[in-house]
Amino acid sequence: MKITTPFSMILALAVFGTPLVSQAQDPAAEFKVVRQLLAEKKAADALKRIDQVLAVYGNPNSRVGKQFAYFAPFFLWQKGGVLCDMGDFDGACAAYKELASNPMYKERVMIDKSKQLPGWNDEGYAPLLTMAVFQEGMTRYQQASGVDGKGGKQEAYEQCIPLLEEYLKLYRAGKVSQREKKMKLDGRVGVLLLQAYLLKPQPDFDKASSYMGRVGDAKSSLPDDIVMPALNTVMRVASDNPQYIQWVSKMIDASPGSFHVAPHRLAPYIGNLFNFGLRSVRLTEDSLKAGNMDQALAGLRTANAIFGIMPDTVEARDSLHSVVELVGSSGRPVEDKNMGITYAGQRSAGYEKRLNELIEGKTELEAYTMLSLANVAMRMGSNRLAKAGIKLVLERYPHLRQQGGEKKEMRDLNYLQYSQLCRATGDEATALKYEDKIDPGNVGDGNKNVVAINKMIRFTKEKQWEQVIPAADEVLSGLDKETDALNYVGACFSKIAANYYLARMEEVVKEGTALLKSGVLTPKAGGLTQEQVLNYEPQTMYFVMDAYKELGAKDPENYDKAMDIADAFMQKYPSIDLQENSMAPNVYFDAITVLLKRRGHGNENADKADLKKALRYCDVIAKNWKEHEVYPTSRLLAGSILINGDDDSVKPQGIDALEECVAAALKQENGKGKSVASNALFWLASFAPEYPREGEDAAALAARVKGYFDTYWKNVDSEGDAYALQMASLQLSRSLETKDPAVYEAALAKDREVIVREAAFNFKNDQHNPELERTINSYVESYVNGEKELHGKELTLEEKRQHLTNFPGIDPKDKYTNAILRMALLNSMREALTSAKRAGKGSTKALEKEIDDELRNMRNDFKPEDITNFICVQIGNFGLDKARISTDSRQEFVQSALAYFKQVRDRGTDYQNEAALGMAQALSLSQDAADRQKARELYSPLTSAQDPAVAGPALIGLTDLNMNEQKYQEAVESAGKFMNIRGGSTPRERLEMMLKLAEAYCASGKVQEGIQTYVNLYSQNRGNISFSAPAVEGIMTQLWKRNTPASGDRLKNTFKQSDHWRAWNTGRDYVTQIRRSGIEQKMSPDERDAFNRVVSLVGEYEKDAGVQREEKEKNDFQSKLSK
Amino acid sequence: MKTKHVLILFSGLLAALPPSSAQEQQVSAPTALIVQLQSGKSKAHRTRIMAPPTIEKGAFLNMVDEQPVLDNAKNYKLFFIESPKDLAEALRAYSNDDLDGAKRRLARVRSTYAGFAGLPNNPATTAALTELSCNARSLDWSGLGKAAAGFPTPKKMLDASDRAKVAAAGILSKVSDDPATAEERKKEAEAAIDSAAKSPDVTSEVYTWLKYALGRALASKIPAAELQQGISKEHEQIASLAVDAYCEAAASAHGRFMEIPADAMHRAFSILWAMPGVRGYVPKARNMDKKVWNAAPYNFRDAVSLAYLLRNVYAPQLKDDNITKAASYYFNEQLNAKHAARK
Repeated sequence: MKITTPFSMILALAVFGTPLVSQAQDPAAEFKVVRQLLAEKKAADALKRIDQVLAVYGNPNSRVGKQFAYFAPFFLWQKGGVLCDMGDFDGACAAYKELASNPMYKERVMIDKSKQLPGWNDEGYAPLLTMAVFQEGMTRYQQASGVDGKGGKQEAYEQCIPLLEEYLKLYRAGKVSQREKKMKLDGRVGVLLLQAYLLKPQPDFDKASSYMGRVGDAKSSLPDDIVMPALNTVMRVASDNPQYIQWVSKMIDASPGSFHVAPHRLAPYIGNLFNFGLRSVRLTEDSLKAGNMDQALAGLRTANAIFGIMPDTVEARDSLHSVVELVGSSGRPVEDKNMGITYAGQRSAGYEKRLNELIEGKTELEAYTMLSLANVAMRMGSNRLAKAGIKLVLERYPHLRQQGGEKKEMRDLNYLQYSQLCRATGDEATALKYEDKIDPGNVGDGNKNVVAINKMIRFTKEKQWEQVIPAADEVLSGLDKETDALNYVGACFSKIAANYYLARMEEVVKEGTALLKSGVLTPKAGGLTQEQVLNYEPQTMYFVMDAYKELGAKDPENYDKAMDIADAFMQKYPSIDLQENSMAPNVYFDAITVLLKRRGHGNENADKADLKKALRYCDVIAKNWKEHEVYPTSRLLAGSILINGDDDSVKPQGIDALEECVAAALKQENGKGKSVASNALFWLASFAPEYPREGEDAAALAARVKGYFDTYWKNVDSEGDAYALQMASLQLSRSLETKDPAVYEAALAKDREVIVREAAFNFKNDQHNPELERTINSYVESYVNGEKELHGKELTLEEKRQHLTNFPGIDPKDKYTNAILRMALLNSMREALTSAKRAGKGSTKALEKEIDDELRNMRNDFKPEDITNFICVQIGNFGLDKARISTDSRQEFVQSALAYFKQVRDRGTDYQNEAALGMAQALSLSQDAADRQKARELYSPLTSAQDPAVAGPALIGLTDLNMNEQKYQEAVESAGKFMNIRGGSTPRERLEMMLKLAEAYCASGKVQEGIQTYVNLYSQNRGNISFSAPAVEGIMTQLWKRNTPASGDRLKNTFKQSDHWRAWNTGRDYVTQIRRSGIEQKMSPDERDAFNRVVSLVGEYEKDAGVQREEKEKNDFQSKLSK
Repeated sequence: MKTKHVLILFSGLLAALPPSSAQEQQVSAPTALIVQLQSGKSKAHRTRIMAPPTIEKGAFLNMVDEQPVLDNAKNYKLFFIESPKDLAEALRAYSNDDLDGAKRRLARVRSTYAGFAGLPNNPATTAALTELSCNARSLDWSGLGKAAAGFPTPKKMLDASDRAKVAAAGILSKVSDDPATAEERKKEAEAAIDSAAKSPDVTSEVYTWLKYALGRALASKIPAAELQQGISKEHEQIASLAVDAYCEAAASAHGRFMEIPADAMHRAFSILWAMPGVRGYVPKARNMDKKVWNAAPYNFRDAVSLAYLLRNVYAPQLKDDNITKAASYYFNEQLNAKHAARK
């Protein structure tokens, strides 16, 4: 460290101006020689010459000495400089000391003489006397700090301090020359002292600190070559002693003008400043980790101050370039005196080149300062500032490379960090944009996983579960679960969660069980902390449990497995404190639902035990977690268990549970509990009237029930609510019980309002709600009853039509609802038809035609896809009926009916069996054998249905098909199967099937069974002509055909009548009986036809000679016997 | 602006050569010319051009306007104008953060030497460029506007970096809270940032100005009442963009001349503190620990951290009760983790 001081310049100037006195005894000439020798780097010769001069002029006793002693101080001064340059610091100091302390030089006469020298005419050599004090201190300083490889003796700082302090004392006391005063030296001395105190073997930080402030007292800015090395010293000391880090910023703040200087002046120090700035940043980070906030803040303040005086790299380069342009890259430096700056072209060109290398290498220093300050900001909690720093680098230094190592481009790393910070500041869209730009290959192995993890988290947040799984696999690939347990568990958990939400329950069970058994979910050193285990294990257990619950539908054993996990959870995590066991309510709740589902698969006692347990779990939730989101639903379940149970005594408790459910559900934020409340209120409105409270009279109960409706309409009801239609419907039917017309009218209006509203809602959302159909039908029923009971008015069909076709608020384009209303009207018409037929008054033909027309119109107005399944089936059946009776257009009706049935089948919701049956029936009518085969295939599963209402009609249809196709054996089977089921068919249908069975028996050759079936049918339904007549006819024709002759001996009582006689006789007995009973007069035309067929067969057989003979023989034998 | 100047050539340190053969000197194409400018009390300027004997002998040179001087300057291998004392003093005041004093002095230097503005390294340009920074640092937008408008140097004489600075000063000087001009100012700042991002000549200081101007433009789209009483959902996004622009202004400065950065961070804080969800959260922010901190709204955490940094690092002198209040919620996870480990 070469420190140039202004003193040598003063001296050099003086010597130039010294006039020559004489060649021989001319000290000025000698001085010139000395200077010449020094310029030629002949320091030893110069020193020799100086010593020779001093030997002569430095001796006041000699003659020459007396004359020219006033020259000696200049030579002594020069000697000090020469010795210092030669590395003889002690010698140099001796010279300065001699100058400063020899009393001879202080003599006024001597000084006055020196004033005669040109350029020194104001003060002579006097300034050198005090300057020598400084220069001796300075020499010691150089001895300590080392110059050009010489010196470096740290102890010398100790020696320099008293000298510099002495000089400072002189300066402050005004005991220095005018020349020195003009130079405003105090600041520079202070800076040197500051450094000396810091750099001596036992640094004295307090003393050093006292000079820190005085730097700012300086009257002028300090020269670069003084102040920058001083800053360097302070930075070095602070690096080794972080507790003094704030000195650096303090020093800069004390004299900002010394540091905030033109970029080209700072250029030589940029590297040092930058490195120290980075060191301060690191110190900040380390201090944070060490829990030392004060030091962290001091570090940040210092980094900020240091980076703050650093110019931008391009700015510094350009500034240096301007210097080079201004003063050229070679030749002498140019001094700008007023600014105290020396422009050195050559040096500037050198720095320019170095900075250019940084710029061309894409390693601009300020970009790293921004990155490192961003990093600190982030660690200090300011994500916005951190994000800003990274953004700037991406914007301004997009191709920035790493400083060391492979000098890789940092862009992808910056993308990564920027996207993370965007996410942390709520800007998800930008985060995603930048995340997509990242090339994971460019972020290093450590960050590669960060990218993968981010991707996984991002997909998880976006609920893109399909993508979560491969992303999690990417995280898991090559990851060691022992060394990176947290990420391992995180990725496994993400996969489990993704599979869970994708309803891949087998996977959830597989992977969840694997994670639970992996051993990683145990707190241990190097693995997960207790807190992290608590984050993952309970949730994983819950997922697996819930997955087993879902899989229970496939295999009920899974319910048991779900309960095993629930038990394990409850045992391992017994705490009711949600702070430490947040999943507990969910697990208890899930256990309740498992227990409810598991019922019906075991024995009755086990079912009862499950219910009991479920109720107990409901109580656990009620006792401990009333604020939890599962609480309301758990009360709903408790209510349903109690109300549906066998024990009537606890049913009021069920009502209480439902009320608790409503109260809690309505308290939930953002209307989250509304759907649960809605459900519970419907239950309450439905069941509460059955369970009055103790001492509650009818009025109070009614008021309570009314309250449920009121609460529902006020707090729960909204467009699309699942129970709105049912509540409206229930309220209307309940209103009839009040017998209060006003209540009824209000309920009727409400029901209409809700029907219209929900119809509009469904139409708007392009959805079909089957509840709408039920509600409208129930509305019509209530309306008809209400008008009758409360207004005494029996509605005519016309009035009903008026009411139903005038339903304001239904969009004419809403085919779905309009079809329901039309169907409701149609049903009213059918009811009217039924009662008209029952009454038997007048002709029903007109009404029947009207019904037919209406169905035909509906078929034209509504496409299958517009209407409910129920209506589809109705219209389909209408087409089917038409197909049966039509011969010309049969195929058309069949196709039309099939379209409606197919729509229902395609939807796969309700009325599936009805539609399948309709299809089978329609296909049965087809001419095409392939269609009929399809019909068979449709019938097949239906005929085996548990429900007789399904199996019965299917067997009837199949039997008909078999008969039509003359597959009598099959007909026997299907009809026989029909006869074996109970219920699901009308008596008439059973009788028809008996007829068909008998017919099939006979046709298939089992005549005896056939006849027996006819006999059974006839004997049990003798008065029912529609069946007894055909049965008798069947018996007669079959016997006649069989024609077994008479056999046996009448006397021995082994005689058997012939089949012919029996055929005739059966018919005759039947005709006689019917005629005798008087039924004949009441027969319908069809019955009369059937009866007449028997009568005519009897007449026909009667004419047979064999029959007549056998009859005669019988009569003869009997008359013999009676005699 | 055609001021007449007289250039006088001097030779040697101690004695001036008598005025003589100026034309002669020009013809012999001297290799170096060092110029001293002196402003006297009179409006006319006496200019001495000095060539020390070590470099080149000089002579008197009379000039009537800038262009011949400039042409003349081109004839020298070295043409150097020494900084006049008044410039040096003005710059010293500026670098010692005496902004008001500097502003006055710089303005004077700028107008005094305006006639030399076409010369390399001339004091008028130096003063005018510094004056821009000085006004900007004082947040004196009208002063900045005047300084930018009255910039003495022809554009073609400025390098790219200085041109960008003058242009940016024009943009920065339009800073206001007026919603009527917000969109226009926003577009202007964005366009300037777009081109600045691509230009390596734009300094961090100038980049800070542009980001700050953008921040102010965005922020003036937020109704003033909302900044006081809480920002609506409707303005949340624009507010967030303003916060980002302010933070980018601050980060771009990387510690240099902290007046605008501190103001930007202060404004960013005020917006964050008024963000939806923050105001409502404040009463709930009790017993700050890791869990509470991590569950707090992210704007709350950022506002608190920024307040803490403003108070302790970037602008301890700021007086704002909200900053004091916000900083009191500060929590640092790293710090706490260590403390916990120590227990």
